[in-house]
Amino acid sequence: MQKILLLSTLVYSSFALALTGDEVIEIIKKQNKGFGTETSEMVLVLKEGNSVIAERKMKTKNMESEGDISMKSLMEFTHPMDVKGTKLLSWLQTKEEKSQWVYLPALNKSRRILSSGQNSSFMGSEFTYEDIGGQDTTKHNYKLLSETKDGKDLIWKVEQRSKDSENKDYQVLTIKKSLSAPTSIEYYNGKKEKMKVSTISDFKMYEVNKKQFHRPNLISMKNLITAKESSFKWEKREFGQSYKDSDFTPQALDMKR
Amino acid sequence: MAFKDDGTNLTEDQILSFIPGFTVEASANGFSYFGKAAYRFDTFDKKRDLLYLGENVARWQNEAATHSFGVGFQRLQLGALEIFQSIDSINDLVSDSFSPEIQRQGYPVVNYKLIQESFKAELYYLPYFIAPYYPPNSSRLGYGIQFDQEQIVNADGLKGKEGFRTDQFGGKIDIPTEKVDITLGHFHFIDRGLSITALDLNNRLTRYFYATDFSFLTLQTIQGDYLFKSNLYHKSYHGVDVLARDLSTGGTVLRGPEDHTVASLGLETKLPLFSTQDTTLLLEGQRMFGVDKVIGRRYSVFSNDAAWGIRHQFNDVRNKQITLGHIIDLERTQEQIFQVDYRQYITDSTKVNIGVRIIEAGTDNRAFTFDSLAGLAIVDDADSAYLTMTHYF
Repeated sequence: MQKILLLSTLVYSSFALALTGDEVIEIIKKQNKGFGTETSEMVLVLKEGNSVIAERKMKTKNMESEGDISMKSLMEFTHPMDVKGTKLLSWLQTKEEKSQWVYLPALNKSRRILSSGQNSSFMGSEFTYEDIGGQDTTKHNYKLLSETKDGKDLIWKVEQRSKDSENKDYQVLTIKKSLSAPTSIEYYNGKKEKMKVSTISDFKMYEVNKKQFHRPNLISMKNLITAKESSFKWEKREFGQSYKDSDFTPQALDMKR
Repeated sequence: MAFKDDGTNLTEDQILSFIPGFTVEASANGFSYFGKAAYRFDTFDKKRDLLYLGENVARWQNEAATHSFGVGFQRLQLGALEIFQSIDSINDLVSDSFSPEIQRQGYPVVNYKLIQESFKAELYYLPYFIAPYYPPNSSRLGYGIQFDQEQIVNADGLKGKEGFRTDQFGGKIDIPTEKVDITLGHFHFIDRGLSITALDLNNRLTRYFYATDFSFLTLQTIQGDYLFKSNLYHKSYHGVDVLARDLSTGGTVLRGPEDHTVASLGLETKLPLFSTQDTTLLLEGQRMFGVDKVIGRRYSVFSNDAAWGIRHQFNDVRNKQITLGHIIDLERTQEQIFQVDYRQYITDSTKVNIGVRIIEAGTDNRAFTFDSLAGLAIVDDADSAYLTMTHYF
């Protein structure tokens, strides 16, 4: 199972005309390999109209991995108070569903959990667990809808549809070649009605091992039906930490890191 | 809470408590301290005022976070299941009743952790025995027994308060893999989860706590859309008993717990009911082996029981969650517990939790017999409703 992550590594690129959608996605995945380790601090803001109704804060650590596990990530919630210290450890596996453990500081205990439904809302926001945890590219078909020029840059529109014939929902991704990343994603239902729009912006370039990576500092998701909006804003992001596999194990969740 | 009229006490009660608590966390140079405590001010009965010391631990760990020493009050959470938590019997119990999270107690512990990539090993030393808090007579359900004393019974014989300084120790190892999480452990400790009540030879009503060797195994594994969980433990008391007066006959009798084994199985899966919300089905069962049914009912409220629960998370901005639960005794099917629990944020820093618990043992026999003090009969009709507001500063 190949995964691409929206929050940290969802990126796309191309180098020639007449590419298929699947080829675009493969190139993007390749382009975004090699960042090694990454740490970030984010705020999730939930809004109704112009009013902020809730904030969640969290820290994440990601580490690329080899073999059956393609990525290990550790998310620690820091706000609100009653979830402060709660940690979510995820192993993204290439052949299996991801393995997840949660650490509950009130119980001083970590336990294995079932992954939430991929369409479930993440902490009451407009983002889903699939948005957070990654799109499984092997479960989707990709179709290149258009290719346009933006100065020296190229902009692609790629349609993403589930291989599950019962799932008629689909997404249209607008991808900027120079960023190797989407700048917007439109979410449609089976009746071709636009339901949500994600805007990905405020990109910053990082150089890791002489390779350039672009990461957004702001991702907004607007629900066009309810007018609710959620935004992830990065307050801090760094690469190149010397993490070890042992930092991403369930037995280490109760240790200070 | 409405108490059953036992003819000796007015058995209607209510509790309006104010429970301020605090959490402190600090760390520097590998040293850290985490403290959590609360105090219950009961507005109706001062005897129910109680200090709760949850986790209060000073800890040191090395820079690589592979070794750690901790000293303080800790809670040992060993089990894998959600409903049947009898494996968490080393500490954690405040009393013989259900307790909200904030009222769970820690236990004096010194421990060492060794963390490697493939396992975690932990050693524990527990220098003191603390008897579970037993609410005063005025708060008791049913007969309102008041104990005269507590005594430890170990291989050296009887010990009173002076024996509460006692050596208890153990260890466990956690081995997580991609598919299965395994925990194996062994403890030698004074069993707080199983006490035997008897008159001593001086006719003092005594709670006896016995030394036990406690071995356990827990497993958790995900197979497809299902999370399977199991606990297995064995308690050995080495035949230690005490000469006491029989409550029913008045004669002398040797009292001591029998060795027994408890196995619990659980299953958890998500139900695809609502696309953006999570509905989780829980199924659990627990059975005691090695003792007959009557003894089993005395040793545990859940000696041969099944349970199911539904937890629905709305995944909305207020984090609303409703849980339904039902536990049924498989031998005495009239013994059941029903529970509904609802919780949500009111603001970003205020939560509300409301619920109802109905306990039905289906017994009309209120005669003072051992059988009436076993299983759910002891809390028959002790139905309760609760409303908890929590504000975080």
